[in-house]
Amino acid sequence: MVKNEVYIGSGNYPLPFVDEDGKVELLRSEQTYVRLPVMFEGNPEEIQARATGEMWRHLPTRGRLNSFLDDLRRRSNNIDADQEINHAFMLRRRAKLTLGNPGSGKTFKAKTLGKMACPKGAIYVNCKDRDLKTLIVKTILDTSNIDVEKNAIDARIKMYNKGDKSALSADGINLLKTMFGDAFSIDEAGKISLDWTAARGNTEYTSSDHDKEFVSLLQQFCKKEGVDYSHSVNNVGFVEKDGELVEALESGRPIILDEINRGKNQDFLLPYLDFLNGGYEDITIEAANGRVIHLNKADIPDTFMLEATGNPETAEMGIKERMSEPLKDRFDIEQVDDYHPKDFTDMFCMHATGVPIAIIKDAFHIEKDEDLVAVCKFLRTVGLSKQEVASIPADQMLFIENAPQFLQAAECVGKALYELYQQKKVCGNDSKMCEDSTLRRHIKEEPFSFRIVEDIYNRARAYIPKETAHTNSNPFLNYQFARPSGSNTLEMRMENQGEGLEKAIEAVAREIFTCPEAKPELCEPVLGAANQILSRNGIGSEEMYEARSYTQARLKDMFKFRLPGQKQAHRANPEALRIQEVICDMIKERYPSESVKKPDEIMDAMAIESFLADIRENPADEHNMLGKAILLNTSEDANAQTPFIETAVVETFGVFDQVDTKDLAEANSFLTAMTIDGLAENNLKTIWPKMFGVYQEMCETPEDSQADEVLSGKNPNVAYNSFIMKTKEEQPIAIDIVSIPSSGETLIVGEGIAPVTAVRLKQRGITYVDRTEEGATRKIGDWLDERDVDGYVGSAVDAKFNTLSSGVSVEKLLSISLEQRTTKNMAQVTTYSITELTEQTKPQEKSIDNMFQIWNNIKKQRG
Amino acid sequence: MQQNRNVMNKLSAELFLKKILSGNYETIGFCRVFKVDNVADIAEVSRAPSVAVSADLEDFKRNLENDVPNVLISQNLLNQTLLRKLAEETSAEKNILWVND
Repeated sequence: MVKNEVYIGSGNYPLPFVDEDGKVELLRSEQTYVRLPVMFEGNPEEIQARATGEMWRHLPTRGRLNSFLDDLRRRSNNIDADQEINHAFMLRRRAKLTLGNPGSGKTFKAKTLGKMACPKGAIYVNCKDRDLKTLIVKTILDTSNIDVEKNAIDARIKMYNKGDKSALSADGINLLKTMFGDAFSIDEAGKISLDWTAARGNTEYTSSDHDKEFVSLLQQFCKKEGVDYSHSVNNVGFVEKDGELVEALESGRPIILDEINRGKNQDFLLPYLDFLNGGYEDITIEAANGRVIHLNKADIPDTFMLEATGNPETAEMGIKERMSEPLKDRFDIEQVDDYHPKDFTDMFCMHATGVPIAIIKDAFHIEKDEDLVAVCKFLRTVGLSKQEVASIPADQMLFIENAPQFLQAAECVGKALYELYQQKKVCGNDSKMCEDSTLRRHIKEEPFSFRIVEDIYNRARAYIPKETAHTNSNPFLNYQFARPSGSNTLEMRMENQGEGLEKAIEAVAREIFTCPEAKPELCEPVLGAANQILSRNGIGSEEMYEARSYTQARLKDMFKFRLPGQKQAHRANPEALRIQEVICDMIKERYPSESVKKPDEIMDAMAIESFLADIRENPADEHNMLGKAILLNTSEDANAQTPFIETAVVETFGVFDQVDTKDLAEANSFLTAMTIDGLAENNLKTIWPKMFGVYQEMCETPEDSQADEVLSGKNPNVAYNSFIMKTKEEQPIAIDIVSIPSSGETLIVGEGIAPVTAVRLKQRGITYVDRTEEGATRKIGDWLDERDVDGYVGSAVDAKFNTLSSGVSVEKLLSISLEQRTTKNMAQVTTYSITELTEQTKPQEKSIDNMFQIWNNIKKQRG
Repeated sequence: MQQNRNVMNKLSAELFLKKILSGNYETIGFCRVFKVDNVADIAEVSRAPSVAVSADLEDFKRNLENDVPNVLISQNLLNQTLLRKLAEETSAEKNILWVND
C-alpha cells in the first residue's frame, strides 16, 4: 500500500471555504493547511498537483464547501491544525453518515474526497435493495468454466441488439431474466445487457441450491436457442468473494455506501461501526472462503474512510426499513444544509466547464478577465496527463476561454434556478398559490436538486432547432448562412445551445410545477409565477420577455460563444448587435483605418444595449438620451475617432451666412441613423424644432399659418423641412424630408448618397429619391400625389424657397440643387470633432444637456 | 518506414478522436458519454493510444478504473440502462465513446 501525503490549504495550494458573511475565501496560511494521506504514486509535486487538481475539478458547491472542509480535516494527519477535528482522527472515527434529499450533493462530495485520496477514487456501493451482509462476503457467478457458452450467448445478444430479432426468442429472453435477475437489463431501445459478474443468487430461484438451478436454466436456454454447450456447464456456479468493505479496509481505498437506508439487514454493520467509530479496539472478520482477518484500530489504513449517505426516511423516498437508532448512534451524522443562493450557478459551471468558475472568481478575488481565464485553464488541467488534457471536450475549453462571458450566463441560469427553488417551497405550502391539492402535493414532494442542472444542460446540448434556414440577424445586410453539415458540430451547438438552454429550463420548470393529473387552469398561477421568475432572468417566451424584462439581457444571446477563428462574440442582444453592425459599417466606410478593428473595439455592443434600455425607460427624456449618447462616445473606452454622434443622433444645428463644408455633418451617417428603430423617431423629433427655429429666425416672408404648421411639424397631415449636410466627397447638399405623422411614411430627397445607404433606407421603408437621377421629379410627384399632401408641401416649400417658387411645381422645387436655393433659412447640420466634444463635456459634466440647446445659445448670443 | 506509418496511424486516430470530442455528449455522474455513429470514425479512433477499447462488459469495468481517459464500448454490449448505472457509480472521469457499430 502506497502511503503519501499532500498539503491542502497552504500558501501554494489554497482551499476555498465560506466565511461568516457567506463569502468565498481561501485558506492559504501555514496555520490552516490539512495534511491529507493519499494513495497516489510519483514525485511529491506530481502527487500534490494531482490531488489539488482533482479537488478543484470536482469541488462541491459553496453551500457544501464548509462541510467539505470539515471532512478533509477529519482525514487530516496534522495534530496541530485543529484539535477538535483531529480528535476524531486520533480516535479513528472513520464512519460518517450524511443525510439529505436525493441530488443534494452528498454523493458528489464523497466521490471528490475519494478521488483526492486514491487514483481510482472511492469504492462505490449502491445499497438500494442490497443485502448489506454482502459487503463482507458476496457471491458472484464464476464463468471461467463456460467461456465458450458465455461467448456464444454474448454473440446472440449482440446480434439481437443489432436488429436481428431472430437471434433470441421471447422464451430465451425470459430464461435470461430468471437466470440473471437484476444483472439482466433491457432498455428503452429494446437492447439487452447481461452483467455476468453482477449475477448473484437471484431471489427468484425456487430452490436453495442456486448453482444447480442456474445450470439447469442455462441448459434449458442453450437447448431452446440452439447454442452448443459442453459438459463443463455442470461445473458453473456461484463462488464467494470478499465484499467491498473488506476490499476497502485491506486496500485503504475509501468506500461510499450510497443510500444506506434503502439497504437490507442494515444492523449487520453494527459491530463494524463499533470498530470504525466506537470502542472496539479490534475486530475479527470472516471473509470469503473461510479466510479470517484480524484487524486492530491501528491497522486501519490512513486513507480509509466510510462515507454513508441516506435519504430522508419517508415512504416516498423508497425507505422500506428505517435505520435503527443504535446504527445511527454509531455514525457521525451530518444533515445536508439548504442550498446557498449561488449553489446552482456553481453546479452549472462545474457541469459545463469542469471547473467552478464562479467560486474561482470570488475566492481568488479576480478582477481582470484574462486572469480569470488563466486561473480556470490552470485548474482545469493541473495534475492531468497529456492524454487527459487532450481528452477534455472541445466545448469545455471554449467556455473556459470565454470564462467571464460564460460566468455571466451561468449566473443568469443559477439565479433563475434558485428563485424557482424558493418559489417551489412557497407553492408547496401556500394554498392560495396553488388551490389544487393534487398539484400542491406534487409540487411539495418532488425534490428540487442538482440533478436538474445536469438534466437541463444535457437537454440543451442535444437541442436542434426546428427551422433549418439560418439568416443573419442584420436585416440590412441579410446574409444567408448555410447550415453546417451534420447535427453535431461544435459550431452548431455554440449557435443554438443558448436557445436550447432556455427551452430546457422552461420545460423543466413546467415539469416541476405541474403534474399530469392537475387541471391546467389551476396550474396557471403556479406556472405564471415560475415564468415570471424565468423572464426576470432573461429566459422564456418572447412575449413574456418583451413585456416584463427588456432590461435583462436574454440568456440565449449571452450563451453564444466565439469559436476559435470567429471574429465576433455575440453577447449583447440582437437589437444592439444590429445597431453595432450598422454603425461599424458606417465608421469603416468613413474611416478606412478603423476597418481592421473588431466591432466591440469600435463601439461596445453592451454599451449600446444599455443605451437603448435607457431610452426605453425614459422615452420622454430626450436630453438624457442624447447625453447618454455623448457619454457613450466620449467614454475613455471608446475610440476617439468614433463618430457615434453623427451616426446615431444629430446633435447640433447651426445657422451661418455661408456654407462652410468643413463643419457640416455627413449625410450618409445621418441617413443611416434614420434606418435604426428608435433612433429614427428620436432623430426626427430632435431635428424638427431646430430646422423650424432657423427658418423662423431667418425667413423674411410674411407669416403663412399653413406653411408654418407644416414646417414646424405641427400639421396633422404632413411635415416638411429641409437642411444642409455634405456628401462623402465634401459637397454641400440639400436634404428634404417629407413625413406623414399618422403613418410614419417618409420621403427623403437628397443627392450624392452612397448606394448602400439608399438600399438601407429602402429596407427600412423610407423612400429615398436622388434628385439628380432621371425621373426623380416624377417619383417625388407620385409619392406626394398618392398621399394627397402635395398642396400642404407646396405651401411650405413656397414659404421656405421664397422668391424662387412662382409657377414651379413642388416636385420640381424639391429637385433643385442647393446652389439654386436660398440657403439663409436652411439649417446647416454641423458636427463637432470628438476631441472638441470631449473637451466640452469632460470639465463640466452638468453642461451636457446644455450642448443640445444650441439654438437657445445662438439666440442668447444675438442678444 | 513501418515506424513512420505507426506514428501516422496514431496521429490520424487522435485527430478523429478530437473530432468526436468536439461533438455532443451527455454528462452522467463524472463521466461524459459521446454517442458515436460513424463507422469510419470508430475504426480510426480505436487505434488512438488514449482510447481503451472494451471487448466485453468486464473489460469495460476494468477500463473505467485504468489511466486511459477514453473508453470505447459497443452499444450492442452495453445498453442505456446499464451504461447509466455504471457511469453514475464510478468516480472515474472518463469520456465513454458509446459506439453504434
